[in-house]
Amino acid sequence: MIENECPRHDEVRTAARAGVWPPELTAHAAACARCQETIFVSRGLFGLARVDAERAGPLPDARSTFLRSRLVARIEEEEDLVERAARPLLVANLLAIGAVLAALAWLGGYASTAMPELVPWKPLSWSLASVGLGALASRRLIWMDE
Amino acid sequence: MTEAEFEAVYERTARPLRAYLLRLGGNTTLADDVLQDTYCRFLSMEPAKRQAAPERPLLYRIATNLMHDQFRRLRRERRAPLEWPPPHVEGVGPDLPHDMARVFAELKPQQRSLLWLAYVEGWSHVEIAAGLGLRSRSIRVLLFRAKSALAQRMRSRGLAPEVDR
Repeated sequence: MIENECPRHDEVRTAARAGVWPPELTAHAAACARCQETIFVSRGLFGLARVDAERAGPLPDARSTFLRSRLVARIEEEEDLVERAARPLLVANLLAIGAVLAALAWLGGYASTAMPELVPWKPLSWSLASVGLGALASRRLIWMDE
Repeated sequence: MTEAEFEAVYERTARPLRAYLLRLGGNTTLADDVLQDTYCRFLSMEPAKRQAAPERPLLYRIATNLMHDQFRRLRRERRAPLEWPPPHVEGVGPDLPHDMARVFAELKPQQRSLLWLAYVEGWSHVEIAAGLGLRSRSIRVLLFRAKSALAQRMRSRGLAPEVDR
């Protein structure tokens, strides 16, 4: 079953916050179960907020918060700079790995064609095996780099 | 934003925002950490973006998202469902006879946010929607459900009278 809020909920909520009750709204709230719920929920939450306000310690200092934000911003900026500076190296690294893999594929295929007695497998198998080995080695190199 | 401008914003907004975070997170240390992170994020935003939105809902939205990140991080670290309410909810004690803090802490985080902003802060539905990143048309229904959940818990603990429906 879908239940609905009283159409005057916002008026009652506002009145409960302000503590100002027009007589007509008071009469409505007295007869409306939803509005009575709104009133006791409001009172409970106001009580909680009041106790929190009484117990609240001093706020963190605005100046230290401001300085902390500047420090965080500077650190993030430096990290960003380092990342940007390292980007060409990463691209060069990837290009070098690509070139090595291509060379290995070619060499594997050539070796199995030129020296079938030494390399009995089909050229494609040799190319794939060479590329696989090269990829594993390059992954290891990148991992070591990090 | 200059330091003086920031201090003015902080003066206007920090106290109610910390009260909200305290009730959302359940303890002062967490609330203060998230409060400071919130203002750091706020200051690191591009000025155009910061000025495009009203500052209060924007701050509450950042704070709510950061608090939810904290909940997720705690859940990940414990590798188990987050214990909620936490064993020691601040505000529970003999000087708060209705034990309202614990009842409130049993609600879902979104319900706590909705109720606090609507009833304690007195925000409109549009402001709540902006502060929590929700559609304003859904606020009425969500708020009604949150209020009913809290009312039911209050009644079951004898903190509120039974009402005829």
